[in-house]
Amino acid sequence: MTVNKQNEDFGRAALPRRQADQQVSPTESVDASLRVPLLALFGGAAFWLVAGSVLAMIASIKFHAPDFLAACPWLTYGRVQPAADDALLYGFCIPVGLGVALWLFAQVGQAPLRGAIVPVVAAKLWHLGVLVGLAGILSGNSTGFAWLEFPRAGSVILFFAYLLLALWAMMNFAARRERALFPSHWFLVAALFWFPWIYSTANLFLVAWPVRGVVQFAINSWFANNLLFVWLALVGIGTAFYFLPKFSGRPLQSHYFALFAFWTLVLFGTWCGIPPVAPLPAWMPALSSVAATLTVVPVLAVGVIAWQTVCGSNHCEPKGGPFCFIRFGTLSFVLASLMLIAMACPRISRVTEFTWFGPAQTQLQLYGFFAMTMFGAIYYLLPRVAGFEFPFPKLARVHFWISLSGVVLLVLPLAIGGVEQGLKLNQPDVGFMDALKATLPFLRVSTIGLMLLLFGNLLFALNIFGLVFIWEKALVKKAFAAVTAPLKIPEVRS
Amino acid sequence: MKNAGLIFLATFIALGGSWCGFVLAPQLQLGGLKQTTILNSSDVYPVGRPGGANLGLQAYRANGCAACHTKQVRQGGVVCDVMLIDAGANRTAVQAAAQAVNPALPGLIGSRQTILQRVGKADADAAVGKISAAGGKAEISIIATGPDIARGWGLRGSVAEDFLYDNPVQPGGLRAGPDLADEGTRLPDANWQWVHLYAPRSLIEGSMMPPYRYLFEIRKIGRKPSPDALMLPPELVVAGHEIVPTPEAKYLAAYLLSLRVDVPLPDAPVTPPGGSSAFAGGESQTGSGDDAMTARGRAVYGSLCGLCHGNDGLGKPGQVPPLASSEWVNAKGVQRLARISLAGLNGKIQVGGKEWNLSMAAMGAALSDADLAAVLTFVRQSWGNRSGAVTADEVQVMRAALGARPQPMTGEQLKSVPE
Repeated sequence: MTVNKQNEDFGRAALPRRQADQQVSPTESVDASLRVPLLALFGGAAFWLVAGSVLAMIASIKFHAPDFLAACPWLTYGRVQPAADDALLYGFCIPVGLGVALWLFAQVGQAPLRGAIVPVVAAKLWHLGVLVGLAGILSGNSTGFAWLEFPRAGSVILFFAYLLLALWAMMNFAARRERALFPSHWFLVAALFWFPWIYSTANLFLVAWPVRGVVQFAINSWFANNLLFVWLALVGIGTAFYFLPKFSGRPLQSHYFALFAFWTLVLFGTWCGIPPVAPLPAWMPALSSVAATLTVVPVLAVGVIAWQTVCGSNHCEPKGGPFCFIRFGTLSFVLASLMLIAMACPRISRVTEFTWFGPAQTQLQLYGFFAMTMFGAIYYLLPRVAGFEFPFPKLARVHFWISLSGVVLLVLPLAIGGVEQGLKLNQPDVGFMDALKATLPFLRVSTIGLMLLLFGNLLFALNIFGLVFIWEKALVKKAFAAVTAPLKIPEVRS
Repeated sequence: MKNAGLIFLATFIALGGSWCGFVLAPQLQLGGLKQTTILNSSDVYPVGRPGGANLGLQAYRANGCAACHTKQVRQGGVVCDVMLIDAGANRTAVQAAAQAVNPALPGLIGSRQTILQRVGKADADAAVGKISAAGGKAEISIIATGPDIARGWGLRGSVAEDFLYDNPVQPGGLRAGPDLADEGTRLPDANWQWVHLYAPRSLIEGSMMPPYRYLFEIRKIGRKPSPDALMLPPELVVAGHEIVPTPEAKYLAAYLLSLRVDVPLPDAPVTPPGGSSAFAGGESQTGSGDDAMTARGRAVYGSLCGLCHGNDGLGKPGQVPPLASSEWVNAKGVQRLARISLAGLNGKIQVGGKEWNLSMAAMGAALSDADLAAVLTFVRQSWGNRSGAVTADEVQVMRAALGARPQPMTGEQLKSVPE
């Protein structure tokens, strides 16, 4: 890929570049500098993705056979379920998002990553933090706060690992040679700032020096929304706004509309998340509902931008490639966000609150939108960065179709079952057990969806681990060749 | 946007705004929340949980109970009932006033008669005003509405005060199991809670709750059986062994029994069924013509039985059988009725020509003989029931006959007991 192509993708006139006296092409040196950090981030993330899927399967099976693994306190439902969610969010989504941001800054800015050893250490540290956190949850040391279950030790490790990664990304961003800023930059830079703020607030006020009573609930809701909705949206949409124009061969439609989407997303999205019926002063849920209604604006804007960018492109790509992943991801973002907005509406929330509709929305957000977008990005960038093709490129396409069916089979039944459950719960003459039993057929289908996702994740991990293995083999070969190379011994001649 | 500084500024403004709104402002408004005085009482609420229950909160957290159970009762609104307490000296004037308020009333009205049901606060106030103008005395009961409350999950909606001493606060977000906010009044029997934790499906048919057997120890019965051993349904008994709750299970049960949403507060007014205390009108409720025992029976009924069987004794369709004109309540003797309340009831039973599948805890076991006698008498003489009274001595004899911590009865076993 040439540098010129890079700029065309953003629909901007090629800017003057300073690269005259370089021996290697800048893209290659950028790729080489990112190789080890990205393999470290993505390799660990692929592992947690599979681990999270296995935990989610265990949790889901318990609804059909409550006795399944019941004797083991580590695998009781109340521990496995949050562990599965956190493995997906902290183990996969966040490190992968950081990796893609690192790559995007270096790639678009044409600046090789300096001191790559620090992000490598930070990546290992991050995955260590996830290990500590998950072990904490499974051993009964969860903090008890939704999406913040990792015990203190895990959170501290994660926080510093994030700081290191974000710092290096920002230093690379500041050192970019290509000075122009693109919409993806705004989204990703904002996301880099976003996480340390919300994560430190939540950990300080909920875990380290807990505030009293329902204030905990308010802070927890604020944190969960800003992580699950805003942070994921910033990173995922930032990534999509880079790849959609690139793959469709058309500039982003348009630059200023994307700026508008960014501003409205950060201004309104951050106020969502307080459920309409909560034991809190009434102004908080009311404010949150208003904000959620306004969030329709950025969500639709993202939809329109993506639609106009993708439509009319004559770019044809084999089915199931990275483009498909990212288009599906963007579509899921719009749907998941609309579900979130609907749940903030008091009328709808009366039915959907406390039902399976909530988990359906979360899964669509985490998996349908974010993970799918990231799969697309990784399938595109990792072979370029590593310098090797994936060992099983066909499996990547299979992965797309399996994940797509998995997401549909997971989210759709949970959402419908949730509405059914909510309607029944609102009729006091329907017994509670009858309302619960009505959700069972839907839970059965969602278990099949989870099974497909597990299978798809295994295919993804197979490709990532295979690539890491090929790279390591090449390293060993090179080292072996260097060691065993015949030495020129000048003394012999005398 | 030309430079990174602007992006940082955008982030700072946006996130800083919501931080002030949803982190700082709640802390300023509620961070100093103090105990409130309970309506029409000098007691304060909430009081801290006892030590065991506090440890139980940590067991609740460690085992992730909040993954399936909420602890938030949602309230739709409130309606008011108006009850005539005392017709006073000028009975005809009061009668006229009451009929002006509600023309559907029968010709003759007596004390403790409900004259308006399910009306708004303004209408209720007007009615009370008219009655007092005529020289009578009337009272308003405030009743919370909404599906959660109709399910018996609490007397009123959850408010900030309910969570004051919880750390961590775990309101939960999914009802894959029932709401637990009022578990302590709904199922105040530690043995029931333990058996349910140990083998949920032995008590609730089709329950999806995983069994928590790791919270219990199976031991050989030694020379001295453990006083804490579970009273199990026959199919779970292991010969020669006893099942003993671990400390964690004991704390967890203590915590569950400490959960209740039945206290009327200034920002969540409600009248407990039976009206034993805390009428919103603030007046004494000792009505004329009510002897002390009936008043006591009504009070106990309101705080224990009424939550499931209803203030009207009609139960809940499909879930809780009616007490009004029930053949078990109105039997000649109280042998069966007292056994149900002292030992609990499990499994299928016929009431009023319908089959019910029940798992009632031994709700009466913790009551004194006098209180249980009072509430059984109240049940046998309310809502059209016209059966004989029960004395404390009768209850004492029956309690002795059942022994300490009896097994829950089944419908078949009950039938074999003479009336």
